[in-house]
Amino acid sequence: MQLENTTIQDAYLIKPEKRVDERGFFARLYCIKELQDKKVAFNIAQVNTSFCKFKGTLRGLHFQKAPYSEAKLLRCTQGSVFDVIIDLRSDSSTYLNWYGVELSEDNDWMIFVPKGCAHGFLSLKDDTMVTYMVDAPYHPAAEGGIRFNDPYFKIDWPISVSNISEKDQNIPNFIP
Amino acid sequence: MVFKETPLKGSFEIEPEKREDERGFFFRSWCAQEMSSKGLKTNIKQINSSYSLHKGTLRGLTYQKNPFPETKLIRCIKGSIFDVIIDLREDSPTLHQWFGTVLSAENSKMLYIPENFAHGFITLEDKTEINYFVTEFYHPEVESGIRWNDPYFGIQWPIEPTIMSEKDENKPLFKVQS
Repeated sequence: MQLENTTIQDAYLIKPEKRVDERGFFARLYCIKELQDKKVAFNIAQVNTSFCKFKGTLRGLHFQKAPYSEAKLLRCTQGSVFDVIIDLRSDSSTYLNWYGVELSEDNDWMIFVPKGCAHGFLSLKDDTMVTYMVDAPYHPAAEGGIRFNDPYFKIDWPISVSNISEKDQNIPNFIP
Repeated sequence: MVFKETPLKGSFEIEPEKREDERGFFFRSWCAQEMSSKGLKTNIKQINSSYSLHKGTLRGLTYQKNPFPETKLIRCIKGSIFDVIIDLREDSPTLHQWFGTVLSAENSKMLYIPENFAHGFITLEDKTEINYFVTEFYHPEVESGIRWNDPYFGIQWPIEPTIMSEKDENKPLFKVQS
């Protein structure tokens, strides 16, 4: 696994190293020790799968408030998404910055989202599937959100949003 | 998640419960709390991906011997496989019995495989990918295998294998310990 820095502190783009032979390939998607060696402490508590029927489906942006904050490791296994992280850690050098990257079935990249960041994605193709690992059990009461088009962040989504839940659409404006 | 024990005690077929809405669906495919409440192991050390280009690709059967046996959880995320396990637990009432089931991207079913089982699969479609969770690091020195067509086990594969590694093809026949 190759970890590349992103423009958000402690968030990484992970490129699996594929061992290819005549049958296909083998790749390690997660190794607790390799991540630890690279200073990423990440134990899996849950694994979730999210499927979007249509291109233009936006999910997020979500985060869990402390003490239930979640780190996440995501992979797009079908189709493609524009994946976005917002840094909400007041002690971070990249506080309130956002970062976006395309994750797809073709590039097979993964993204590591550290605790204290909001996360969301927009499907760029129909029939898109994302699987993500989370390092803490889900606590509904600790959920927070940022609206995809919040004027404070001005996220530059690559395509227009055509499908979003009422809940995500009505997240109030962010107040710094 | 719905847990169904297979005829080989301690191994489970697990079906996630999908929550659908107008956007698509969401499901939990693994949960440490829920798994451990069923007495299943949850200390995941690695997750691996195995992708096969063609239908009829057979991989396995492999296992890691003591002291580094693995518990595995298999999920097929693209295409489909016939997944096979063999019970190699010396103290088990189903010692040397095999079990097979279809795992596919469509049925989202997973197979939980306890320690001291051999595991292998054959792809039933082109472009098939499985992900498997493992509770132990890979230790090549304790790796062992069983040949897919070893007459001692008589596994009934649903289709004929057309692609397999030389290593898998040439595994020695199983010798019963006396």
